[in-house]
Amino acid sequence: MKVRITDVTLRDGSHPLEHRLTVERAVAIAGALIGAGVPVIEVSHGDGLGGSSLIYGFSLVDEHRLIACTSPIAQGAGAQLSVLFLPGIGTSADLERAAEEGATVARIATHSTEANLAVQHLTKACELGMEPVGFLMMAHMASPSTLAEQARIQEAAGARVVYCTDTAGALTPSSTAARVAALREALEPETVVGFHAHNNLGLAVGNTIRAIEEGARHVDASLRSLGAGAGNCATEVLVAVCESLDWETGIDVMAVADAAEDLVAPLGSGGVIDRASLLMGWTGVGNSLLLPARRAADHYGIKDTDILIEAGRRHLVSGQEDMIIDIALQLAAGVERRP
Amino acid sequence: MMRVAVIGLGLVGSALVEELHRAQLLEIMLASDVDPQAPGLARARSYGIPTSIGGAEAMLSAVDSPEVVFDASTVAAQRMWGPRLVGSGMRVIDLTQGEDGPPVVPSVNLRDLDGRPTIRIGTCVAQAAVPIVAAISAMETVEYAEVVSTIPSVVVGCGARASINEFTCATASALETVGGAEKGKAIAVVSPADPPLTMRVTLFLLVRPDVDRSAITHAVQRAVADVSRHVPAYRLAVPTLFDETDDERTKVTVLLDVAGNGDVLPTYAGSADLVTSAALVVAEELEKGG
Repeated sequence: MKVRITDVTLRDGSHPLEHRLTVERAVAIAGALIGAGVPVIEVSHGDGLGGSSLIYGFSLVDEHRLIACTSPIAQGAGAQLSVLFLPGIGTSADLERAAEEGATVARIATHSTEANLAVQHLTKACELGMEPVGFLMMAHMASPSTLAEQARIQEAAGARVVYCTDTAGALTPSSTAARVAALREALEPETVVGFHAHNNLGLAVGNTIRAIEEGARHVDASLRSLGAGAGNCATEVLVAVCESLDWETGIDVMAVADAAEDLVAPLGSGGVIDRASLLMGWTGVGNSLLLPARRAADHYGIKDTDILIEAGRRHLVSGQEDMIIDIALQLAAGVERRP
Repeated sequence: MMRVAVIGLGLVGSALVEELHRAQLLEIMLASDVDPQAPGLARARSYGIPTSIGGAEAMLSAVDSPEVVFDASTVAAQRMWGPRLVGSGMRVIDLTQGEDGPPVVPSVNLRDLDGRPTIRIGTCVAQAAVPIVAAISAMETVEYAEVVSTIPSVVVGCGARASINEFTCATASALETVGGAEKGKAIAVVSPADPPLTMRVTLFLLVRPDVDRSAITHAVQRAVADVSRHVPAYRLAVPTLFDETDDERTKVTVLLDVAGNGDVLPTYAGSADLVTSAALVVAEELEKGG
């Protein structure tokens, strides 16, 4: 059985690095990944093309420069370069530019119940000759049947792959299996099901394996699990497990373990399940809110976990980082009022 | 009394029909959509307004054509039909929130209509954000203006979803062309929270260090008061915030809540109210001869 792994170190990993990837580092990581046999690498701001902003953090190096510098490495080995794109954040011009720079996969991401927001840019990706992928985020918030209905909307708009994306790291093996099985059943046989994990509950590798057992064939991972919040499924671990299970990834275990150890471990910001990120998985809060909550907590002298609990209570979704300010101000006012 | 018509009877068009019926300042002679199930059709009929399922074409074939057409259809339909309506001598007030061309944000540039045949109403987010940017850029150079909006899923209709790219671009562009920022950036998030949250608009602006914070705070308050004359539930969520950035600029943060008036659509539909009220202000201006 073949499993296609997309390594997202240079996209999801942008979050813990506070979007401060340098060209030198991106080229080294891309080179090591492609050299190890990784078939797809994703390069974008953590919040997708156009994510560089005051609210999510400005990129140190323009993502288009990072794409242009890394795409020849992928192309040289017959591998693909993917970009993430959130309608409402990026624009078609960003997608066009990425295609010119050599990106060949476009993953159009929406909240799990807002699939039709992706239609316009899935169409655009098709026109640009990019592989169109639907990416349904915060999948734990949608029931398996709802997620399947939404996936069909993206399939009808041209998506050849639809991902169940566990943005909050809130899924368990059984809830992962139920969602992936629902997608597998609802979609046409030629449409691929994908799975993207976060490790808040320590289940990223286990959930990914469970997803593959239920029919997912495209899965995401990042070196040393470098990604938002608790991080993703660790590429080197997943590749080793797949090899133990006799599933083909085309990736060399030792080469990818070297990349993790030599290039990413020294960055010192890989996925850790600390109190705040555990709480996010447990209550279902998207991982990109971790650092904004932590910064606001420091600024206003309150606890990051209190902010995150309130974020969960308000059902915040990906992208609503501005609400963290609102929550922090309210909590800070409450603290002041207390005797 | 000026004779007007409405094309597109979805979320925005229905709210507009209600407002027009209530205002009684304009004579609404036709309401049209291409979808027989459009929510505003039944409403228009119940008010005795003639209706059609001929869409924009119904305007062209009307025996007695309207002077002004409110187009609340879709960006794609506006592109197709707008030029023909204008070619037939009608003035079009475009509420589809996505086409190029300088948009109108009444409290900032209502006086610039200049006999334009098609008047683009700025997006709902532009209606909320641009008056604040304009107020600050009248005092200080705004190097960068970023608006992050959260709109409840239930009030984002099919037309808006199909043109999210145009919506994003038009909003960012309005921050520059109407707001006066050197660079504008727009981010829109659709929230599925149930019960729906109130529409939230957050503005981040970069200005020089050592600005007069109290003058900016007052300018923001005046701008909010101006907009809230037409959209009463538009308000500051918290007082204006100021931070120094690492590169020694001042970041000004303005958090706005926009509830709706709760007439036709529920109170969380502030986005529709922002656009319909701007369109009505423009129509009244046209009636005065603008």
